[in-house]
Amino acid sequence: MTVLISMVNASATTLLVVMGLAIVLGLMHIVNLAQTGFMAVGVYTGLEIGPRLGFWTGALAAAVLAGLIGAAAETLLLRRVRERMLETMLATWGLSLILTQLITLRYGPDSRVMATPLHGSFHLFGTTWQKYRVLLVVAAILLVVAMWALTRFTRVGLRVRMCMADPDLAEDSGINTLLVRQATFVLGCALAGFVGVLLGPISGIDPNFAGNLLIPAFLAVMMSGRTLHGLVISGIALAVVQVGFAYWSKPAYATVAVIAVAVVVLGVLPDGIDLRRFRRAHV
Amino acid sequence: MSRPVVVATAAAAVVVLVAPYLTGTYYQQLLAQAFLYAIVAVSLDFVWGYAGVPDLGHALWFGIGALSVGHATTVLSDVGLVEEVHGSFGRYALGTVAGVVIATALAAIVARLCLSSRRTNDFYIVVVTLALATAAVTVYDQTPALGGGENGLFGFNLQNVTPLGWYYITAALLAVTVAVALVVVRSDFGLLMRAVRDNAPRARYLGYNDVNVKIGVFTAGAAVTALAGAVFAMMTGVANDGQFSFTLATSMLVWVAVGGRATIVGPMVGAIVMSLAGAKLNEHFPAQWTIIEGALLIAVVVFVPGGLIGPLVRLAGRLLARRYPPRGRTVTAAAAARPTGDSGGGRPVIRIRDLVFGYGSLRVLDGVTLDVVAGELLCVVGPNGAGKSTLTSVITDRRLRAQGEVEYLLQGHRLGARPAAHEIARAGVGRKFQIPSVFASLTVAEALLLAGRRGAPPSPWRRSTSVEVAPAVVDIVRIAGLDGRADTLSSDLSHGLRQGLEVAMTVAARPRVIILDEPTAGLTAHERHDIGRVLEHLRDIGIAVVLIEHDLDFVVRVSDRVVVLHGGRVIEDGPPETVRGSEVVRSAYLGTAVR
Repeated sequence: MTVLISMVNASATTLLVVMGLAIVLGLMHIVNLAQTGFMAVGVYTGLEIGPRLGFWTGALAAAVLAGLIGAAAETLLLRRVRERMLETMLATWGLSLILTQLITLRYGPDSRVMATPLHGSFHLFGTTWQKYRVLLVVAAILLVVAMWALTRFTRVGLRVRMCMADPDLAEDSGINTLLVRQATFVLGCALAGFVGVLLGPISGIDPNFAGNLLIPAFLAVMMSGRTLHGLVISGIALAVVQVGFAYWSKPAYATVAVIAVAVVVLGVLPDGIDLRRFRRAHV
Repeated sequence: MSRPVVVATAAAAVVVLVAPYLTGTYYQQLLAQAFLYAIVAVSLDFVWGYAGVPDLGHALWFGIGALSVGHATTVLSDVGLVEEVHGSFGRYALGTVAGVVIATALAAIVARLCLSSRRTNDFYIVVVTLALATAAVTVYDQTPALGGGENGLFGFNLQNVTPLGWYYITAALLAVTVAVALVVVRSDFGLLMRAVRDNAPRARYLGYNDVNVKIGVFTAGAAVTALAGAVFAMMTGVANDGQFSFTLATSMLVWVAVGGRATIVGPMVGAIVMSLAGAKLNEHFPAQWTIIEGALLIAVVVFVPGGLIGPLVRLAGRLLARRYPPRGRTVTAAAAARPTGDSGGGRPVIRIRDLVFGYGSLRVLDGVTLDVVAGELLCVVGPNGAGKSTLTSVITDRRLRAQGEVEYLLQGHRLGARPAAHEIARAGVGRKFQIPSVFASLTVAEALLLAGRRGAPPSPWRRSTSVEVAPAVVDIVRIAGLDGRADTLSSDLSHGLRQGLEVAMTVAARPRVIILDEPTAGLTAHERHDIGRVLEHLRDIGIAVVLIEHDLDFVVRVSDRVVVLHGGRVIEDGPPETVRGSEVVRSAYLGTAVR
């Protein structure tokens, strides 16, 4: 039962991290390797502001700050290497190094802890649930549903989907694709900052605290085949594999197992997990 | 070698030989490390700069080499502390060999899994190499019995070599590495690496196994880096998780990017300068140095994609070239040019039966039956979406899962049940893409040289200076207006010239069947006429020419037989006049539903 709970919790964490990556990758074809840097910016902002103005104010401030840095990075750097995937990866990786090191310079490399805004636990199904972790699971579900609803039912979502499908045609249809792209990147970064704070109370915080989350997140994005349901499935699958391996084997092998699973899945399904493909094939 | 290159090399050799006497042991040690890093940078330049495989976890191979030597020469306690050092020659040799073998094997597996022809973007290999480097550090730290955990291994350095000795050993290793690298990138195989990097599909349809080229270069790069790691460990007597780490891998990327990708000398200089600067700065400002590295990486990638040092090298080369003109490559007609096609005209060379292909529920090809005949100019026409381009793809790459039979009756070539694209190309089926597809960084002569070898593995040291091609290719070169442009880069050619070059490349591969997807698109009426003449000439020497075309007037003028595709089926198959008068074709072209 504890394993199961860990799996649910890890799935929630992965999904929270993955969502910001996925929207940036899906729309801008940018692999944002600075995601962990933005999460670190977020969590240290939370550490600074949280104790004085409250946890949630800190989380909002983190989102704003990460978003601002993201906006600057997009305007000054990423716009110049648009649609060149490798260049954007290297540029965001450089950005991540800088952000992480700046934080190390300011706060030192030592591990810190963040107070949780939601204390206590409750009993259900014969086991103990920590309220804050349940909150994270709810937050992950809400985020996925919100993303789905946003792209499916709103005008903004329609525009975003147009830009994803054909940027040139979208531009010609009167959509300011530059603005949409910038907004997407900023949103992705702000989300990273916010998620950084959310994960603060359940993590040991150091400047590189999200580094271990990044790899499963990227593998999940890679497996997802650019669909929301694929993303959810692969995020959960990798979290389950990781927790399972860490529990029944050694945690060190869990990271290798996660990579192996992703590589095998992509070997079988080169286009990633996309259920629509199966449905069509059976018609 | 030209005189200036000899002078420059001699000057560099003198500087390297004399330098250690001007400094102390401290700098000798630093320089020896820098030379090993330079070897790593050169190997990464091979993998990333020339073969186009971005290895973001290149430190992994370095760490494997270092750990292997450390593990072989030390005895560890249960908690991973070094208790004893067994520094016999045999153990060092065993550690080095094992490290190189393990790195090579692992790299081959990773490359095989990540570099398939179906995955064309860099995302996959980047994420996997990144993930592996991260996982390696985690495994290292949590497995003390393997490499001492977070403390690492230490104290196992070779005892009887002085810092000055290491200086000369590493300098010699670097000199050999750079010399070999320069010979290989200037050789015919160097052309193939760049061709695969620039445009893998084009290389594949000229008969080259692009995936294997990438796998081979990636694996060789890992082996060289593991060797450098092993020497590093013997020299310093240290193996730890830092040698696997992301930080080191990033430094490697920075050396290559700052030095200038695909220049060999640039990354070498970049690694030496930056690792010396890094070592000095790291003593005082470790965190700041990482920030500088990050900023440099961004700055170079975003603002100076050519790097800082490589362009200087190229500029010097160009200035020298003005005084000492290099031997360019010349294109000449082969003296004894055999007819390329089959002598027996009228014989089918590709037999297609009931070919069905679709995506999901959509059937693009719905039972195509067709014979391609030697010495015949066959035109495939049909409205947009009729399946013309798909038909081309499916018969030139049988790995695409189509139902039905495609039989290749090419003399002297046995093809398996589902041959891959490069095997079909090698057997003599040439393909010209719809959008002109050339190798951006190759000159016209270089492109024709590669094409003319039709997939035969090029020599990794020989540099061909003259390109012998069939007379038909020389005709095409002349007609297309490529005369006198043998040394022009393909990326500098206009649209029309690229079309011409691609047709010339396809014909240079001495095909028995040549499939051209709208070769006249974007050409003037005059150029069309010339292309028509070329195609007729190819047919006359016995090649089966398949032309996918929209322009019915052009089709009627040049073709012997016309096949009309509509809705994934052959609705007409006959001489051009009959097809032109056909009611079915007219309604198909006007958009009325047929059947």
